[in-house]
Amino acid sequence: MTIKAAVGSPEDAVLSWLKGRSFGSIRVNEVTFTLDQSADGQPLVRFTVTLDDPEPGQETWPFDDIQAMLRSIDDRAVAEGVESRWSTSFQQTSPEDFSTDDDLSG
Amino acid sequence: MPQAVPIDPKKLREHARALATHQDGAGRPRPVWLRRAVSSAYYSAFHAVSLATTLQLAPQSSSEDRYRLSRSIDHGRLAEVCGWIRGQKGDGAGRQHVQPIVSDLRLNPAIQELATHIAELQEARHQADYDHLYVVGKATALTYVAQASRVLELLDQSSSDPYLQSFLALIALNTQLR
Repeated sequence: MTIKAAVGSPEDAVLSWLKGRSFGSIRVNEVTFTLDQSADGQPLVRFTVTLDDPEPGQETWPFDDIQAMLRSIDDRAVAEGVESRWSTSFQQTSPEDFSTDDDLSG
Repeated sequence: MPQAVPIDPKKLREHARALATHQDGAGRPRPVWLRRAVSSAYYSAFHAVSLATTLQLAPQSSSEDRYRLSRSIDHGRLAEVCGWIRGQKGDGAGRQHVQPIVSDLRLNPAIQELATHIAELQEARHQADYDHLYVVGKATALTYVAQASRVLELLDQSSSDPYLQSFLALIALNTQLR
């Protein structure tokens, strides 16, 4: 089960700091977080970051910029005193059109 | 009798990339393939770290013995060490006597990066494999493949680096034989 952390919490401070921030060529459009459990059952803050879509013709975002973002989130979470583990996942802004066909021949 | 083929982290990474790029251009990717790409990316990084740890522990042992030892590397214990390096309070910083080592490693950009990618890949893999409501797009899956590539690169580049040796020693000592 996931629950929202209280407004004014360290997690909220990280969220406010991160929203709208740029790291090289990537820009954070939206951030949410939930309190969840890690893969090994420990309390986990899960930040979900929505980024501008990759540049046209590019399959994904520049890796150095992603690395800079992750490092900055780590530093900020430590500075704000986030008590539990945290993890950051990211997604593009435009909804992706997935195949619903599980048939490998399709 | 068929001969065992050891798990090669680079081949797993290659497999992860093939899964993530199974649909070129504007085609619609299959979600299950993207989930498996994330999972393979994590296992590529996990096995690379496990093998580097056992190589450091028993450099003169046979490769077969190191493969056997590497089965004891535990995902949760690995995540715990990564949490120490990332400064995550929930994981503490290990026992008192190793805290100076952890503090030193926290100042090393390569080890910080290694710990972040391993831990993030582990969480992503858990969601990809168990969370029915998890959504992963192609661009994100490819980023996880890039994170796995970076883990392999950092391990290759730094094999004789004293900081990496301390990091791997923490992983080994935080692991119990099972």
